[in-house]
Amino acid sequence: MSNQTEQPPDEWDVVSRCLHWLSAIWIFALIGLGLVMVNMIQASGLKFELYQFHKSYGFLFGSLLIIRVLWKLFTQRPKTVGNSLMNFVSRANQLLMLFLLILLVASGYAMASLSIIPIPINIFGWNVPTLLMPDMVMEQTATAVHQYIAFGLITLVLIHSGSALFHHFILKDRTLKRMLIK
Amino acid sequence: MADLNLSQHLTYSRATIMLLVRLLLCAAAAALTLSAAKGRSNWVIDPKKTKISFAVDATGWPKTIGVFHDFDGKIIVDFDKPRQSRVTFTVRTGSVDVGSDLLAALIRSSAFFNSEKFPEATFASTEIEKTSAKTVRVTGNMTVLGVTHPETFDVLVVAGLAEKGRLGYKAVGTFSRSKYGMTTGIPVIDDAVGIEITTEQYEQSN
Repeated sequence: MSNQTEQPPDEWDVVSRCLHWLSAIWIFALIGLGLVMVNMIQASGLKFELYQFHKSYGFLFGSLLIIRVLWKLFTQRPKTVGNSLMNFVSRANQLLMLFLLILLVASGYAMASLSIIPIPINIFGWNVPTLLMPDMVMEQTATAVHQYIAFGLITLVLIHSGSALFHHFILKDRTLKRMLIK
Repeated sequence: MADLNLSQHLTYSRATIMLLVRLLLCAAAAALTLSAAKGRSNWVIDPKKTKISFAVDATGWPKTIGVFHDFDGKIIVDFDKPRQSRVTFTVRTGSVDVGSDLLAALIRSSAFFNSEKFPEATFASTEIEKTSAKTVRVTGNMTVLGVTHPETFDVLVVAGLAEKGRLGYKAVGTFSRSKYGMTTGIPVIDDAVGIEITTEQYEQSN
């Protein structure tokens, strides 16, 4: 904040970069785990453990998301690279990803809260309070929402990372480099 | 000659007596064996060769199969009057094992077995009827969560056990857990719970 000039910086600040890549790893792990656990057709016990892990780390991801949004609100984006259409699409995609991530965490929390089987979200021994009354139909809706949003997010992540690689290898600009942790 | 005849006679007699003695011993041994098999006798379950398991299905979830590690069981077998045989089983519900500590903790919790308040589930037979040469139907009182209801198990007598002088059984049954007040998760988790017990008994020596 000491160097507050009109001119936006050339690169992302180090905290934004760290938050970006931490989120990326977290999202990959949770989506991967989600796909594996949902499709498991054997080993009820292991499947149960994976679900609880997914719930705990999903809820923790929600905290990371809040920190990230707050950080975004109080820091400047770097100078844009590329034409205005590209910038519009990438910006729209980023905001949409953020929106879907919030919905993903919210629907996941709703699923755990609405479940007619009382299994708390446990974070290092602390049970996250549930704010919703158990409801089977609502839980099914939340589950469907969680699933569709996850697939939507996968699509957006592919566009986002594909574009980053396009910038880096085809356009050979600084888009990806300014987000890398050096 | 007479001496020889006499001695021969004596020899035969001795042989006859020995034979008789042997026969008697054999008969006594047979009688002992029979007495072990016939009449009333107490049989203790061998925990190493006993498995008490349950299976419950749930929507969109693989069948959950669990075993109990801590249990007791006793069988009084009356070979003459099979109807007067008795079976009792006690299972410590806290010893449930489903291949996951987290899931076992949920099953032990007040949502299901409430093991802290109701540490034991029991079964005591009230009626045993022979249904075929190798099968019996055991009806009895099952107590879960402090609630008692009659339940029926079909029991198959298992032949060809590795160790002699033992009895082997395989019992199967299904019960509705809601009858005992265990309603959590219905209908996502089935109300019907299958039970399978495979066990081997040896006779109590006293």
